[in-house]
Amino acid sequence: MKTQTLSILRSMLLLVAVLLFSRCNTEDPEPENEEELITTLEMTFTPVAGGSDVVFSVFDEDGDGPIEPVYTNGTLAADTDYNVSIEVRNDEENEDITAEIIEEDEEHQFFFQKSNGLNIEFAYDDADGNGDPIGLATIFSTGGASDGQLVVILRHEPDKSAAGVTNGDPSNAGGETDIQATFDVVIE
Amino acid sequence: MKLLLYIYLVAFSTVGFAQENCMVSFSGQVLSEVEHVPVPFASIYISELNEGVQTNEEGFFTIQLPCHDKYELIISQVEYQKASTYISVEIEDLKQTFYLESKNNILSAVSVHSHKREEVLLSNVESVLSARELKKLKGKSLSESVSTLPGVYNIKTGPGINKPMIHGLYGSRIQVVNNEVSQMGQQWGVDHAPEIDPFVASRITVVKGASSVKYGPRAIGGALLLEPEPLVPDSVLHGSLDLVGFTNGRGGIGSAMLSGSFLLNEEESINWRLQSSAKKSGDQHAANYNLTNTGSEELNFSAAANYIKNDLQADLFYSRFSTEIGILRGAHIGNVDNFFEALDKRPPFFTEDFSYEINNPKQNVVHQLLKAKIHLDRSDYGDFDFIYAFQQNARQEFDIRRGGRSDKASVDLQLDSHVAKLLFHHEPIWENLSGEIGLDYEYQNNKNVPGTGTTPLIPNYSSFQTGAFLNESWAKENWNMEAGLRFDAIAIDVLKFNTEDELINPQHKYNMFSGIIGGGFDINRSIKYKSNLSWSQRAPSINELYSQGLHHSVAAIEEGDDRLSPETSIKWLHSVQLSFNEKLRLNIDAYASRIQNYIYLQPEEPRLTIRGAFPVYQYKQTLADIYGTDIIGSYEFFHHFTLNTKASIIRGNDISNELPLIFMPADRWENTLNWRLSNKLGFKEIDLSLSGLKVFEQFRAPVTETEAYEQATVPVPEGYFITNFSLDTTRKLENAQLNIGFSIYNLMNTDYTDYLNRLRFYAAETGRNFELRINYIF
Repeated sequence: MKTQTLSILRSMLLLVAVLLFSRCNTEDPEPENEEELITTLEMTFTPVAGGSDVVFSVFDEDGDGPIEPVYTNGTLAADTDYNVSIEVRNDEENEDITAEIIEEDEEHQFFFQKSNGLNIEFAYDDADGNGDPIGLATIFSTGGASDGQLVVILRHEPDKSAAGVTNGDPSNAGGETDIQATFDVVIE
Repeated sequence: MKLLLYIYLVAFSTVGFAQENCMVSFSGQVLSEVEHVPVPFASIYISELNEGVQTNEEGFFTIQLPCHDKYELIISQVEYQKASTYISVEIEDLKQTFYLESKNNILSAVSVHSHKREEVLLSNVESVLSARELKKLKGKSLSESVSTLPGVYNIKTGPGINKPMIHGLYGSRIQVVNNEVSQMGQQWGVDHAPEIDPFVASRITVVKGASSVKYGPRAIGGALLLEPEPLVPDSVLHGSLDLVGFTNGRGGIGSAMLSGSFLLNEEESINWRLQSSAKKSGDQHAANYNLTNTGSEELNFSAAANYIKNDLQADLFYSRFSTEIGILRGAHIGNVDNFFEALDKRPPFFTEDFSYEINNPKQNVVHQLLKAKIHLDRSDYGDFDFIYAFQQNARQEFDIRRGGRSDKASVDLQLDSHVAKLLFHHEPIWENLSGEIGLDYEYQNNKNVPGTGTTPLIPNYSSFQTGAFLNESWAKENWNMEAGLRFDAIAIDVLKFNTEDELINPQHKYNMFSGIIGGGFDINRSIKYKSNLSWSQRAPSINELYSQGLHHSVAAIEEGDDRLSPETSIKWLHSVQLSFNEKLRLNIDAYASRIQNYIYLQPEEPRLTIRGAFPVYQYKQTLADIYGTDIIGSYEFFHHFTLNTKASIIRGNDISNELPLIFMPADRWENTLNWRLSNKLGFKEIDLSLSGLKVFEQFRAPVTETEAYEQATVPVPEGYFITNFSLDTTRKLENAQLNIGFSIYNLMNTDYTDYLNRLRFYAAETGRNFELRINYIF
């Protein structure tokens, strides 16, 4: 009896030894690309009456990582109407995210908030399948010479039917912010 | 105090004749607690008279007692836990029924001594949910069930995810032991609930002191032990069926269990049990609005079998737990501005009508356990246990994603673990010294399943931990002492990509010591005291070393630090049990602990990203103090009409930074009126209770939490008061028992939020809920 049970114990120990030491190595991780990474937002101001483009852009190569975003700001002319188009990219993977936004246009919307004192107004110039604005194309109209900040926000899954959202107010929209870029704007 | 829970006096008096010398006849029956079968040959000892009587084969007894006096009864039988209680004799004859809790459920026909309940260290403070209490908690998650005990709290991530906290510590600082096996899941995550089907357990014990000596370094803050009903030879087929329905969530739970035996001969048997449970719930509801996407589903299965021959027992156990849990849609945000917009928004963003649908964000978790155990009982020198278990934990978390990626998990982790334990429990030597010596092995291998398209939150790693421990206790009639020592070493091997996308292979080694010394002293019949002093160490967990990434529900970045060293905790625990008379009882626990190198999240400079500024938290170490008290009392106003009171107070301080610790539970006080009727209206028992829970505001939230964001202050929930009602009945059928229970939780449909709910910023707690529980046992 005793030898029998001891032999059971011994075989159990052996089994465990096999299990414990057979897979002792950490598995090699596979590199994962941050697929939803957005590195770049480019906002191109084209004067309606003709003239050269003004480009505002932000580039953040590591998304949520510690490297700070790099801003390129521009100067707009006073009392001018601009056709503004926005391009969103992942430059790490040469990916055009603008196309993704157009494909899911009902789930995306840009919002524009200006600091007090900056003489600029905007109007949406595009629409999704429901006739609600997206914001990839807008018209900005500058007033007198001034300077301040323009915050460009891209929301994913906003509630476009909530109060004020189609007029450009994000406070009732909900959803997740995918981009929030703050540009320094000078109007002269 | 524990005894108090198991003894139910069921008395009804019959008027007798007052005799000259005034003696009354005191008679009754002793039954087992769960099955209600008669307990033969139990001794009933009356200490005041130095006299006793034994029950007959049907569990009945009769004894003559002098009138007008109070007596203490001590009821004992070898197979049951000793119980004591008071009776008060006037001039009428007295008849009472007593229930004893089984010690190890052995059938006398087959002599096995292997079904001992998990033995907790003698001097440690523990609270137990026995089969009787668990019956009322059926349908609740493990964490919700144990948080009914004093000093135990429930951390929530919305209504579906519940995680236990003991004396302010949780996650990697608590060891959950399921069926003698250390649970190996991704316990570091605050939103990762223990992957356990509570229907498997017939008894849950919460060990509130540091119990690292017995359960390993992770038990630095306590342990949670779940034990199934022992699997013992029984010629009759047994089973149980549970059905639970509830209105909040419009959900239901079903569970079935069947067990039986093949009795091969006098001394050999094969015993088996099959069990399964399933749950489905739709969106839950706060007091005033629907909580969209808070439905959940669960499907669990377990099979157990053992072979018993004389002094040998071999066990095999398999269980599979799987769940899908929806997370409140309105709690998924992108940046700090979204956080403050959501904070003011009621009902939350994305609130829709009730639905059973579970969309993103959600969690899918599958946990499998395979356990083998051999037990050898050598009555001459002791018994051996050998346990081996394999566990596989697969966790997938789905997020709101862009470009049709929502079907891809954002977090996809698979953790394989092997644990082995060798334990020798020696028979008492020098009459009173008993103890155990053991070896523990743990191997874990964690991998990120490729294809998530996200940077992993924690890296791939494997770890190997070995431990050796020794516990000895010296027990005399009314006092005991114990001491334990343990040493563990862990080696962690990590493979990950650094910021330059190069594969790196950091390795860590930690040594951990733990020790405990303590004792108990029964000063007299009404005062019992115990205390222990423990020292424990815990190595940093993988997330504390390496986590990196954004936590969507709090809009904050968390970063690990691979230079962290182990935490060292010293905890001093006291417990006093007072029973003033048969009506008034009080139990006071007090504890104080000091943790060196306490690992916590320290706010750093906010980080600028293309999505705006985020607060950054980094794992750092500090000196921390945690102390508090738990008080339970009961007073019996009149027969079986009792007021129970429970209060818990806890304080935590980060001493180096002179701040209160974050996420410490607020003070709470709960009172319950309980009225128990027996043998009325055809029911064996009717139990009514009405309870009120007051949770105070946490005035001691640190500024690092309330002022975490530049934009505005983060509010701390106000205090709240909620009431619950429940009615439980027991009906004895022929060879079966039917228990029907009905409860109303949050009776007044109070709208409130709790500090320990991580989604408190987005929505209120659940509103009123009606629940019906049917339990049939044969």
